[in-house]
Amino acid sequence: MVDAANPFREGLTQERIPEPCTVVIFGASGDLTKRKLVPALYSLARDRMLSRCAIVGFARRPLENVFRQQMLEGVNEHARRRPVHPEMWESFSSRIHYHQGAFDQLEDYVSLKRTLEEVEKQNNIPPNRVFYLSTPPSSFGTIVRNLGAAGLVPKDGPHYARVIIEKPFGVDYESAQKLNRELYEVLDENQIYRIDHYLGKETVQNLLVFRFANAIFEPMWNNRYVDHVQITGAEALGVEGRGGYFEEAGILRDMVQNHLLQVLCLAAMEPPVAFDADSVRDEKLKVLRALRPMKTADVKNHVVRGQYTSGSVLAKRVPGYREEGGVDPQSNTETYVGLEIHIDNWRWSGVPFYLRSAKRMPKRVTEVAIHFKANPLSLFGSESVVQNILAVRIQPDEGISLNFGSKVPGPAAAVAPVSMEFRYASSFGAEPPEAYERLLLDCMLGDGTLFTRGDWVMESWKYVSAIHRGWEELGGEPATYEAGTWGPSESEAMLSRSGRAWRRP
Amino acid sequence: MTTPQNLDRFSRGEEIGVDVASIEREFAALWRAAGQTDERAPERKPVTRACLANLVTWVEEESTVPRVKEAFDTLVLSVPARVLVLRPEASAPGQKEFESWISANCILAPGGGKLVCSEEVTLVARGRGVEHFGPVVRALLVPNVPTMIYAADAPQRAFAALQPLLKLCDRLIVDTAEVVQGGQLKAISRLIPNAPSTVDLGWLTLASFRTTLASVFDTDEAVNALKTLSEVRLFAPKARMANRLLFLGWLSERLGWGPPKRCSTSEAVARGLPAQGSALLTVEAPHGPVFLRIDQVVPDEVEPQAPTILELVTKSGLVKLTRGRGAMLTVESFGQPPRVVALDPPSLGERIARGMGPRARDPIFDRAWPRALAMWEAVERP
Repeated sequence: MVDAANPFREGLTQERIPEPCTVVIFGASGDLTKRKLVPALYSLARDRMLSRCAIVGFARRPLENVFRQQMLEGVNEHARRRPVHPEMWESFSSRIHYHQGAFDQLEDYVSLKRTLEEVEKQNNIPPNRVFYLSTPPSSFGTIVRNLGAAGLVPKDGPHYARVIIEKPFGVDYESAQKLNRELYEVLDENQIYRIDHYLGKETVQNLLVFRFANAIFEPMWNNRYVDHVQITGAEALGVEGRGGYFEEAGILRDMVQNHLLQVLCLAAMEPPVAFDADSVRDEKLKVLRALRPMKTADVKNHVVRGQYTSGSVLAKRVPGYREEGGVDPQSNTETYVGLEIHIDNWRWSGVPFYLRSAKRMPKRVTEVAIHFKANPLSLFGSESVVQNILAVRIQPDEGISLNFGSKVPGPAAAVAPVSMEFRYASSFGAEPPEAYERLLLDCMLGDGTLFTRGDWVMESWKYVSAIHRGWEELGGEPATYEAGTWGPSESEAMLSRSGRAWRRP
Repeated sequence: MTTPQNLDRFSRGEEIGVDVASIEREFAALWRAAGQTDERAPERKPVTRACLANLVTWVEEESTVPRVKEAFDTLVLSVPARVLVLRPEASAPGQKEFESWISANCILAPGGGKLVCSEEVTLVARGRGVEHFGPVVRALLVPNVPTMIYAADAPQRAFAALQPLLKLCDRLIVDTAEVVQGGQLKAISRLIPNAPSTVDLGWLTLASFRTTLASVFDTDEAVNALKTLSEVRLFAPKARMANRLLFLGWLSERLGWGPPKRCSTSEAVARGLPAQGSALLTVEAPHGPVFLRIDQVVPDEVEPQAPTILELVTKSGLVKLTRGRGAMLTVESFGQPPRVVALDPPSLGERIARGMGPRARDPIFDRAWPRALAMWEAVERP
């Protein structure tokens, strides 16, 4: 953060202003740079949240002459702050540069260092550097090794050098461990920012605020009052031309290992001793360590994997997964997973957490729904039993709703469920920042709270890899579900065994 | 009286004249009617009545009325409030001493389908009728929500009637951005000591200006340069001078300056100041004296939107902020390439909403305000 000696900073609403720095994007010719990263940096600059920031794109292709123009197109199309103001863009883009180089050539990193020194001198920016690895995971180790060899990521000194790594962080426990080892040879853990854009979403962060800033909910947030918890991460989209990637990944790696387990941790963790990076991440790690391990028998009973067949989603006919481009017609890759997870700790003992994530569901929705226990006695007749559900919607239409029973007007004591709604969009008016804006800013500020720590990654892979091993041992094919439905009937059966049902989000 | 015609007018936000004693009854009846579905008017949306605060608005000038009414239309979505507009007027023969109207401010909630509305009451008092303001306001305040008094223009005419209302409020909201005369500033300064807390909408407009200046001093070298500050030059349109002096008041508070002193005309002329429209002040900073050159720019036909220019002269170089057209600020500092920052000036409705918000109170404003007043007095001194 900027020097506290600046007398003008006190009392400003935007107190979290990072020191001037340069962001180097590896894989700058890729889609993410144009769609997300540079638009996010522009919007931050537009909102006066960056004092001075230069951008250096790094990729193999010769883009020196077109890079700025491509970024302008990206900002025009994708930035939260649009339309782009010409004067503002001229000022912002004067600090956008491009450096052609190959990830595996050390001399390209040596010349990158020279470029950075020039850019920093030109713009009076101290050598604070953020290296964003928007590249295939197979390049992570090589890039970090070369950054180290070129002296670009010193561990100590008056200025910082931080590395942001995009997911996926490994494909299983062993590969994640290998990658962590490669990073630790060059970097300290506090220099590594493993990004999970879900954590940059306001509503995900609001889970903590909701739980720990309101005195009325936390006393009920345990096995005395909660019957079970459902976490849903549904997408209406299919594999969208990424069949080859998805064949290797599957929904368990693509969504559950990172996003949904993060959400589970935020929903289930104990209050941290402070709202700082390590305190929050310590508590999240404890949740993962308390997960009841999945043995093969558990995988059979508590995990449902599914694969979509052709159907209709949002009034459009869509093919089945095995008919998608780049997908093996005999593929057993799961596009749906439903899990019954148990957290063996004092707070959650006996409360199942049901997680489901899938492609080609009726709509896109991510939410956490806390299902509270019913009253011990129904005073108003058996038909009047209402289950109180507190639903935190993460996307879209971010907000919180609470279901409760209310008397139906009239002479009879009839009870009907009603809903109390809080919507982000209508309550605060202001548009929340994009997830990438928040995460880039946090990295510049050295705040790792919303990034994934190495030990959390390892624990999550330990849990998920056990499920993959179980599937291998059990063999067989995934259950099928028609595209545009809420998943296979086996998943419904998993809940109905205990008298519960998936909620319709 | 609640008639179908009144209901339609009410839903459209038109004012309906009512007797002051039946305001609550009329509101209740109109909301009940508005909440019922009407098979003959299927296009009518369900209505949600919302209230998070009382906003008592004091308006003396006729010309202020449309501006604040427009602002209230946008306020409903961010801070729905019961708005009581108090309009003191001179007594006029044949006109009632006290009159009241009610209306609704409605906006379609995002996603459509639901109309969110808040209530507005306009109370006009003529002559001695201003004595009724206090008791009527007390009766009309919604309980259990905070009460803000918003002085939409500087209260001068019926100042005595406004003073007792300050006891009812949790916060006074003033707007130095609209001040153009010394008398208005004095009127505001008389209100502030009697209010439990004050928020200045003019101060809120300075936030992006302050943030931008702060961004220049984020390095140790730049902070050290402040210790060699020798002169501050401010060129601002006359109509914006009170607001810009508040900015200098902030500089004074942040940099620990002593009270301003007006330099003699001969000293001013010696430093190249024109005889008209300029003032040269001097303040004692911890490191030594600092000259403040203040030029009031009178807009003309060629340049109706005169720019504001702020220059800080230090031994390490010049820091210059130029607010030109299109609410863009150009920042030049210590010989670095200029950069452009968008100021995004908020609308009046947005400023009022922010002024009612939990983070609006700023102890730095409380300290900058008396310094700004002292500068204004020094500038105005012949």
